[in-house]
Amino acid sequence: MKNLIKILTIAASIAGTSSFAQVQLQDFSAVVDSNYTVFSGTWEASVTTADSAAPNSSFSQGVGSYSFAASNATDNALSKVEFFFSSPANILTNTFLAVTAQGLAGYTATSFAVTLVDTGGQTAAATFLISGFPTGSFTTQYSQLTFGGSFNPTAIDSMFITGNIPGGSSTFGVSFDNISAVASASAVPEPATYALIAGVLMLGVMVVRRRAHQRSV
Amino acid sequence: MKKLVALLLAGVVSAPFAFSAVTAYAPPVGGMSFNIAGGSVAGPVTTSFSIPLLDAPQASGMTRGRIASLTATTVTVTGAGWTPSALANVAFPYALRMTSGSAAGYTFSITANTTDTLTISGGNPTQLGIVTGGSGDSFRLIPVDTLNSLFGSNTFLGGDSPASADTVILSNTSQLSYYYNTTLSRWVRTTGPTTDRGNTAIPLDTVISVVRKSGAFVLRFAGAIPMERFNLLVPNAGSKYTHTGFPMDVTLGALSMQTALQGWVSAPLAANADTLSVVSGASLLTYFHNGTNWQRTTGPATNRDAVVIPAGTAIMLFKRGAASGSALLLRNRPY
Repeated sequence: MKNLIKILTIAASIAGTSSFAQVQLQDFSAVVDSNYTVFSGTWEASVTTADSAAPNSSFSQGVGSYSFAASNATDNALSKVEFFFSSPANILTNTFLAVTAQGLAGYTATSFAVTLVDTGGQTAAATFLISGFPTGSFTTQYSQLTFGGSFNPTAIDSMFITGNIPGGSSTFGVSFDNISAVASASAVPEPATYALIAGVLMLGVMVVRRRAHQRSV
Repeated sequence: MKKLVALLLAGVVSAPFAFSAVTAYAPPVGGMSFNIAGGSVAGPVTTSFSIPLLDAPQASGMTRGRIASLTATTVTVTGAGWTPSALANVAFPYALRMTSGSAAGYTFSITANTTDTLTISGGNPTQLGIVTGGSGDSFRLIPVDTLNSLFGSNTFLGGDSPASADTVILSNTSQLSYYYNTTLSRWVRTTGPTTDRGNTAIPLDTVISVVRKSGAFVLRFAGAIPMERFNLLVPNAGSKYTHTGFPMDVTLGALSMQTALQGWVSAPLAANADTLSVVSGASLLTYFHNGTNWQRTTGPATNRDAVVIPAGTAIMLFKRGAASGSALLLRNRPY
């Protein structure tokens, strides 16, 4: 039993100090949804259109990820994609956003912002540096939300990702994998991490059972 | 100038005057604070706000009175006692605000002055139904802030280029960006010549956006609350940044822009309607009036009448079409 406790402790340490109360806000598995997704500015199909469900034609849906990559998509703060929730989301007491993404080759923009909008129109926002998302693999970065007005974290109506620069014209290129609200800027287990934890637990159980079997022989 | 203060005097300290047979009233003084979000050079964060508070005039001469006569560009006040050109000093500009009559709340810029006459811009006073004479409509003078007077040299992060410094965007019917150049020791535009822009006026309804590249801090302002109705000229086509007129929260429904702004176009589809955007950081949350209630221009057609616009929040009005001229936005004092 002592061994099992030790193994559980190891598994817990792999999981980090996360409270496991993170709330996933977007998994980017099916971004374009004419009912709930709206693109604006240089991120929409035509900049002459006043917001639409059609993204810039060079944006692409991957397997569980979505790439905002087009030579004419910029980091202008008025270029954005907004995801409306089918029912109000609740981020509980979480005050950080965790974004899993990777920078795409050729981008020159330096940052983007993620903003939550509650049903009363109040906002909370967090800014992320694109340099924190190296090209080639997905990385998770954390940023604390700045709450505006009387923002209600239990009734979130929508979330939008936007370029971060007023009048910005730098090329935007980021592939997103996940956005979650989390309690702190600590490690949040990715699915692969959960698999590792499960593997460690199974291995531990096998060791314990083998030792128990050896003692009984 | 509007006071940028470390501590606020919230409210007026009034003392009873036992010997006075005359009761004097002063507009309540209040304060507003804005949390300027922190950022970095690579990841700047924008905070936008507007300051619906007024400064007390310091210039000599009459600061309140009645208009004796006027022309399309001048206003004359009997016995005003102003120092010539003192009210049109670019470093300490003034505005004239009507406080009674059909033009109450309307504000003109002062471009020149003699001892009793103001040269004004920003509208034709002969077309506003202003009554002149001994019992005519009244006015008051209001100091107008500038980049130098409101922010000085060290409120924000300065630098030798806009890339390294905080930038301040002043939005009205257009948007212009400035930063404090520490090499030249003056405010300059982020583009073009490095001309000294410290005397750039910040009109009373201007939206200020701070693109912050350093730590978070709190900006606090003190001033008198407006006692006149909000009376603002809005172009019939295009964008106009402003605030809701008063330092009080208001809902979209109560703001009732569809009736407050003459010629507002409500329509079932956002693409055909005028819009009101609430400025959120550097981005916008845009609403339109569908003929029955307010709703977002994107997403579900939820009734947004209950959306609260906090005091000091910047808004942008967008009028569609290509109509020339302007219309008045009139909003009565809510207190």
